[in-house]
Amino acid sequence: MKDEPRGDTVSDGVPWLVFDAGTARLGVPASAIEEIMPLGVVTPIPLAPPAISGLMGLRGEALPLLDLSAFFGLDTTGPSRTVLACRTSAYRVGLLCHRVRGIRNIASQQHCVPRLAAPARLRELAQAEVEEDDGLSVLLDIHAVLETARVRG
Amino acid sequence: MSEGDRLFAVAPLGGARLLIAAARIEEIAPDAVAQASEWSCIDLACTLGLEAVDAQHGVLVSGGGRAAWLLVDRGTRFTRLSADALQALPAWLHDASSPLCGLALLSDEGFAFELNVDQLLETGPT
Repeated sequence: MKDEPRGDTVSDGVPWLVFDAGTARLGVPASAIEEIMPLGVVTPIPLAPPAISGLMGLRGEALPLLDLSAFFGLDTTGPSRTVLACRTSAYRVGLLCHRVRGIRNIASQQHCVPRLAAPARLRELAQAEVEEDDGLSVLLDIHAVLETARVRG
Repeated sequence: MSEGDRLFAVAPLGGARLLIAAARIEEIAPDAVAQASEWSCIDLACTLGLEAVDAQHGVLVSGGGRAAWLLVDRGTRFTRLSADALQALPAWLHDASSPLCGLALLSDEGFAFELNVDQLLETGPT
């Protein structure tokens, strides 16, 4: 029997965008993703934490970029080149990742309590894990990720 | 050019571009001149967590009875920006204690960050 998922914000059959960041397979609610695009010209941001890669222009607006591999301390095989433009109620941020796998309809019954041993930050900011035929995905609490990532120091 | 345009110095520093209101600038001089001056020097690379990539020069800014040299990479130029060219920093990056107070998209150089000169002068060298 599977453990109850953390939180109660996920209802049955919710679409999640699943992608690779470094060696991890992650998911965010598809409803939070506005657009997927290749990485463009990046301007470094003074005073930004290391995982905030810079600003990218998106139709004249500034989109700050969060490198998820760096933020979670994941091993990588190369630079992140794909941007997921993510909007929550509070922020609009570009999530840098390596590869988009697609949208999966994931029912809450599939969720397991996050058990990843490491990295600790990924475990802390995971909402649930899902074991599928092709591997394990970690579903992120995207609000908590963005709040945590903007803190300096 | 319209009446609402403002003149800014665009100062390169560590791969970033900084906007300094031209009205606040008294002088631009080699860093040796700045270091020997009576005014204090603010190492902006250190203050802003950037790595200077070029020989530096000083930009003397003033206001409210204070003045200080801001050390930046060489290559400062001037540009006029309309009021609507300046945007607030994205909410995700906003920090009330930051010496950055806005940004503008420069057509040929990406985004540039507006410096809050008053806050820098109040804080002084770090």
